[in-house]
Amino acid sequence: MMSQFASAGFCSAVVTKHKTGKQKVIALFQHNLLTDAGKDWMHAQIYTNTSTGTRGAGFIASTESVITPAVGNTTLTGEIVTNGLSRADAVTKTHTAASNSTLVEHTFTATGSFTSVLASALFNASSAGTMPHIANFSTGSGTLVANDTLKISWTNNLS
Amino acid sequence: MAFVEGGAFKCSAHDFETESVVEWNEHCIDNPAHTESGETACVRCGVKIYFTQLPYHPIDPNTGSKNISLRCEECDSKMMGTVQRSSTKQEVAT
Repeated sequence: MMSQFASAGFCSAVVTKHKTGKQKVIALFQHNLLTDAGKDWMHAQIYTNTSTGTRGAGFIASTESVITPAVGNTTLTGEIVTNGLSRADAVTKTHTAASNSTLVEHTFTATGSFTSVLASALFNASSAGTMPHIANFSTGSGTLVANDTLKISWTNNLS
Repeated sequence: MAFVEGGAFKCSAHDFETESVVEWNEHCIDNPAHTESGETACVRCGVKIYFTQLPYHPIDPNTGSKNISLRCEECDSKMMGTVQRSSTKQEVAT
């Protein structure tokens, strides 16, 4: 008998323009990808570690690079590291009891300009670390300037 | 064991499964066992708040966000005057 272990779900993202308050949904329940490194990490966390594991994958990163998510990815190409959109420990992390669903969510506030944010990923560390999930947005954010916000919500369904 | 791509929301208490966010919200709202546990920041002062047994917060089908907004005990006390609160968190009406 083959058992299956699935961990995927959705990535959503919303840009809010500071000057106008206008919102733009740039990803709505986009299926994310579970990477090979993420699978290995989860098995270690759950089954094979003989010492304390790492912390959870609650860090959110994003990129302006055009990427094609693949299971072999271990880093987020062109990960943003400046101007308010650098990798962050998500402020909100919540698991719904008796379900397979956990939400990891963070609102980034730009402190400088960006041309267009195109994709996001989850990590288990504030730098480097394992990247278990990656997803493209359905459309780019368009130009962001200081004080514009980007809210990224990862809904991860593990079963 | 095989890893596969998934995505469906699954309830282990009621043998319920759906890929519809709207149906998932309805199920969790109707079943109080589906509480929330986790952490967020106080909407007033930003201090980290840990919560358990929070009533289910629906996922916004238009944004994918849960919009969990809580105040810490101290900020809640300030908002409510000198009344002592027994709760460690206070949900903010949104």
